[in-house]
Amino acid sequence: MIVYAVYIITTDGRTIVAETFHENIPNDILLGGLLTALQNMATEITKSKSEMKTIEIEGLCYHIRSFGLIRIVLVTNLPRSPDDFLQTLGLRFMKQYGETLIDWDSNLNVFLPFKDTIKEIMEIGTTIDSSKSIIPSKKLSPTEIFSLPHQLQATALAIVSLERGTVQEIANETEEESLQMISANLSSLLELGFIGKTKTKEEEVYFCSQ
Amino acid sequence: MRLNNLTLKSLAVLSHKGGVGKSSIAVNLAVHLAKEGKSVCLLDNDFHGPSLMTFFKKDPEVQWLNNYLLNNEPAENCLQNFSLPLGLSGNLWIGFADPGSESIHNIIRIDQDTSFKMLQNLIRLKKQLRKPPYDIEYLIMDSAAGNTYGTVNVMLITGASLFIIKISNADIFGTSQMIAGLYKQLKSRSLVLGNLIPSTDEDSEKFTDIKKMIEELFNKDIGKNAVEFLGWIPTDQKLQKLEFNAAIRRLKGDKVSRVIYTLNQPNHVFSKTLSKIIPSLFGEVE
Repeated sequence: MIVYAVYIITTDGRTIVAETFHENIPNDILLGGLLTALQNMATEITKSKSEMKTIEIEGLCYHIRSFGLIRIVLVTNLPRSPDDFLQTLGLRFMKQYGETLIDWDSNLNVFLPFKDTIKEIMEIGTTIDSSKSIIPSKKLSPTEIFSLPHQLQATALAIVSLERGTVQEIANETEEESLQMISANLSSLLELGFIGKTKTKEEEVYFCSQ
Repeated sequence: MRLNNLTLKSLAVLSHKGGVGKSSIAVNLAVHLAKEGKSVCLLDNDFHGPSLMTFFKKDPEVQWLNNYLLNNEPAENCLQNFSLPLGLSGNLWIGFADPGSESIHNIIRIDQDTSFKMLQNLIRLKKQLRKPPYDIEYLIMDSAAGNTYGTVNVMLITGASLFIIKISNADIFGTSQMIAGLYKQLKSRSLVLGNLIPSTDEDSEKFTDIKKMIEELFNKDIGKNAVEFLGWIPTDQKLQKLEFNAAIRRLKGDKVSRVIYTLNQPNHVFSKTLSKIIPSLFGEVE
């Protein structure tokens, strides 16, 4: 699962924490207002007490979970709700700032340390694009791979097969290209927005969206 | 360091239109190679109109290839070895596409995400086929006619694309346009083979002229020497009768399979011609 952003929004629509891992992610102030308005509208129309859980816009899936006075919004590439992460984020935030929220004086700086907590939680079990190059709506589908320049196709097929891998692993998966050539091809695929890059321990790992 | 064995040669068998004998060519090629002692895998990727099971007696215990590609069934449960039943000195592993109406209905509704999953699993299967117990040297993939997601997948993972044509106007001009449309994106070699050409001895000059005309057409539409025209596979009344008789017996309820010429008629001009072009197909001409 690729995580593009995490937002914490108050039930009246103010974004109090925004940690984004992608450049083309919506403005957090507008997003907070939009999601709250949508949530309220959905509740009004359906007369249902249950909340809207996921909406998908332009290849991004917004997963929402309420915790008392706040809502956690996790933006990912997959429509399946990441319940564990929403739960962990919500509980950790409420444990850390539950009392602060009751008498909160609108000073956003008090929540800044939670950005480190978000990174710590996201590091395990999710993928964050440190290159900020992957475009959520661009996927390496068969027709997209077929439309790529010839020299990129084998590298694209290798990364599709592996889903994620180092330059060496991707080279092993292909049939004919050198490490140097693979690195150049990966750079091209990054530039085109088809893949992302993340760092694990000392290695750079390339990945594609499923 | 490369982990993959580099000797696997792969071929996609394609056509602009159906009924040109694409599956028959794929089957006969695969059987001939296995008869010669090679390790061969033949996959039915024509999910819209599967037909490989009409040539072979599929073990009901063996799962359809669809189940591997779409439902995470292990590949080993979806491949059947025909080495013993056909008395071949090499191995012939076959993956059959499901001809059931529900399966075909699902394939018609296929979306990009499913197609992506199929591609991903095909790449993984190709990798698995290089290793024991398969150690495949030749992978032949029979594809659906025309341009479908499945066709694109097959072209992406194979080293050469063989387009089968009949010498009818719609087919040969359509094939030329199809290759022209795909050529810029084809990383693999493009080959063309004529099929179902009536075989008569006195027509050799006439066929030389036909070959020239076909080559000129492809050169004009696609570019000079962009496509290799390999010639044609002749057929005659004897083969047509064999096919017809087998079909009639099947209609009567006999569990007979379609004739595999390279197995049952190895000295016929069809089998001899096909075996001659194999080195060109797999880039083995010295």
